[in-house]
Amino acid sequence: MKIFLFLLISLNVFIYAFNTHIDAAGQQSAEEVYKLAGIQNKDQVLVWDRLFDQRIWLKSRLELTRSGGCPDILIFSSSTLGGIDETNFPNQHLINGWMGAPTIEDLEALTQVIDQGDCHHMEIWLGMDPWFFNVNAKSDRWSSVLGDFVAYQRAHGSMLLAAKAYLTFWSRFKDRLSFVTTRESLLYFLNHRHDGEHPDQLHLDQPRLVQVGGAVDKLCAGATTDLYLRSHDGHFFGCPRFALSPKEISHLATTYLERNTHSMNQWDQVNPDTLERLNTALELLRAKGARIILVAPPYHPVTYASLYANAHVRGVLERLDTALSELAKRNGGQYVNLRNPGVVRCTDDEFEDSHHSSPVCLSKVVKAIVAKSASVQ
Amino acid sequence: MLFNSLDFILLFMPIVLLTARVLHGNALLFWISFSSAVFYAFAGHVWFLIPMAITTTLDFWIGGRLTVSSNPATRKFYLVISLVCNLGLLAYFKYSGLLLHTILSAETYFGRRGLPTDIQWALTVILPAGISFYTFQTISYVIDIYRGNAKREPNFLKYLSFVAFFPHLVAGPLTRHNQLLPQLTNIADHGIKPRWEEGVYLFVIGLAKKVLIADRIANGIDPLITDIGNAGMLTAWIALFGFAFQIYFDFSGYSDMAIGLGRLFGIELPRNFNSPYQARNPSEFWQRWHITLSRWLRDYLYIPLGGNRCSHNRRQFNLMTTMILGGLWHGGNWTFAIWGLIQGALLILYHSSETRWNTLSQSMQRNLTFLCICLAWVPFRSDSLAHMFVWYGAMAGNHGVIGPVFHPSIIVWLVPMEALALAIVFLARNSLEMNYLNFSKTELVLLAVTATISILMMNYSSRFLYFQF
Repeated sequence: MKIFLFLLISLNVFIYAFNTHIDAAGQQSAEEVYKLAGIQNKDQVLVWDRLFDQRIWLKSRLELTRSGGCPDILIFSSSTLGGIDETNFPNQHLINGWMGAPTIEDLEALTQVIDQGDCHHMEIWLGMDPWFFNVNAKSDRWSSVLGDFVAYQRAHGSMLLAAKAYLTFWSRFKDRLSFVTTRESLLYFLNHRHDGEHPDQLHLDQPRLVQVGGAVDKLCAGATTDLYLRSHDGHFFGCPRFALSPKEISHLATTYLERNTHSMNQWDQVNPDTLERLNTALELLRAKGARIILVAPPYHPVTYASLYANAHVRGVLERLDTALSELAKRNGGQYVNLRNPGVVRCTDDEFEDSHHSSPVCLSKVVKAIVAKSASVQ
Repeated sequence: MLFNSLDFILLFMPIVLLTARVLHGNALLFWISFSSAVFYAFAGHVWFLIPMAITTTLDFWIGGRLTVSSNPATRKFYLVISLVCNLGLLAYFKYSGLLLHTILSAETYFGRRGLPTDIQWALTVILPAGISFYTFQTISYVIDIYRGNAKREPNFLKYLSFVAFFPHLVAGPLTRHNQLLPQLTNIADHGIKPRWEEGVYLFVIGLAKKVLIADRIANGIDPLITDIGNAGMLTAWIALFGFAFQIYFDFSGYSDMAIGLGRLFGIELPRNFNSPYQARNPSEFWQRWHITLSRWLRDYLYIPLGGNRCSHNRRQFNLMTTMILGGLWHGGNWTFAIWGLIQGALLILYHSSETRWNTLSQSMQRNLTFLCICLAWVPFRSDSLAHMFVWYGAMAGNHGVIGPVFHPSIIVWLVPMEALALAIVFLARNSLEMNYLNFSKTELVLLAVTATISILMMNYSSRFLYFQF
């Protein structure tokens, strides 16, 4: 028994310590990211080789708006709309506030930040990915904006949710003892074990601001894995040399359901709790003068076909569309359903994987949304 | 809360166990009942406690009334009250959905709409996890007192601990009062005496069965079964064998964990599985699969119906009735009745050709039994009768050999996983027959590594299949 317990505890402590040290999800980068996002100018890109805290980037950027930099258009979505950049809006100020695995808790925290700020009459595009409404696709990354979430719950939500929020430390603990985190940490470790051996290579031991252009190209040339790059308007991009090949994209698109991406196979119903809480947040944003556009981002054509060939998934998606249409209507907004890539004529080669559109496709997406909203000049 | 969660393993279990170690008597029984209620509330909804409280209190009271009453008519009256209330509650939660679905289907068929909305609403209920298990346990308690085979338990806390003891509460093993109450008396009198090695190691093995085998296979077969209309013959058969292994490793893994947890309290819960896929005939299969349910059905349904001591035809009727009702015990769907019907037919067929069957070689008997049992899993796993027919059709080659739903990872991941499961099922030692007190150092190292991998993979795990029954 002693051997068993000693080994079991040692292995788990080691894994926990290793995952905490590597911090592949950049959970401990909040303070640095907040500071850098606050001073980032138009010619700079925030860069790290780990997924830095995107929520804090957005919070920092929105809190800057109090000093007069309110966006005309604010995008809140997952990375599916994260590639939309300001070149699509020549005369308007864009903040692309995409984040990895956003949840209703993120939107509530964002609503609190907007509610406490001075920005009125923004147009807010909310990316409504199916997994946002899938109770099985949970994420606790929102805990980095815990304070705003708790304030929101105290003012507009439930005290129980506010109290439960403090249990997120337990979620983080569990996250560091999970297969996914360990896999990501190991991959990071294996890919970066020789970092720092070349004296002219920029060592990305923490997030940094880098000038757009040659410096980024140089970073990309020396990188062993893809970098996380976030520009001043918030849109993300990667190093071109790490882009997936058409064959890899095709594989990801074909096997989206089979790999149970976004827990799609376990998606039983449109989470009614999320819908209700979304409605409350939208009412508050509307009261603040915001115009709401709900957007269903496009899937790769092959993935889209596979989703709708599956009777179960199709059924839930159709129920989601009905619910979102009603929700948008109730809040004086629009629901722009672009899940079918054929609607905006995005083709197979205009996708970066099963659900991320290329900039070309995203331009078409923007045009479709603008045409529907009829509010962007 | 699930056994396969860090919340349970690192928080709930240590707190409950360490507290239980310092308690005795009614304080210990109260602690077991209280912690079981907390576990149950976190396993589903807080309101799940209400039907359990009704069943528990009613049968405790009826047990008392049966003991003090000597009038046969009065005793029968109390028995009927217990059966009607227990089975009524079970039927309401379990079969109202089936009733509603059947009525609506009939209305659609005849082109009429007449069922009031409030009745539809009343028939739309969530099934409280474990209700089938604890209801059967309390029914057996009342029936045994009525038959004079048991005495009432005067201590309500002990009785409550028997019903609610969290290791077996949600998905068994279905534990009889005469198996658990004496052990609860013992630990109440002398405190718990954990059997650490036997408990922890068995729990780890059960966890690995669930997390590393059942869930991994489930990930591969669930999309195939959902889209079985597009599956070719090969894919449909792979899905079938995958489900056969998934349900075995899922449920036997759960049972191992439950028995292991029981041992940590110094309590031995009854065995639920005995390498069922190694059975050489359908009758033997039912002596090895979900043993506690099989025995319950035998003692409280099959034998009261007449059992074997009647005519040949009547015996077959008894067998078929028991198996169909046993099938329906699993849920409100006609597919479960079909599953029970097939199992009943297999048993009748076997009994009527036993002599000829025994002339086959042992390996042939085993393989044929395994094949028949697997074929019967189709209705069990199907969402509807239509789904079941499509699946059988796909297995017969209605959609070609491969089918559009086939993908390379079936060969790369799923088939090897199923081969591994097959090897474990037929070659590995039974987890309940291992000598946990004499594990070698190598075995302990392997077990610790397995436990660590299982913990890492728990985030990818699902609920236990038998929670829905």
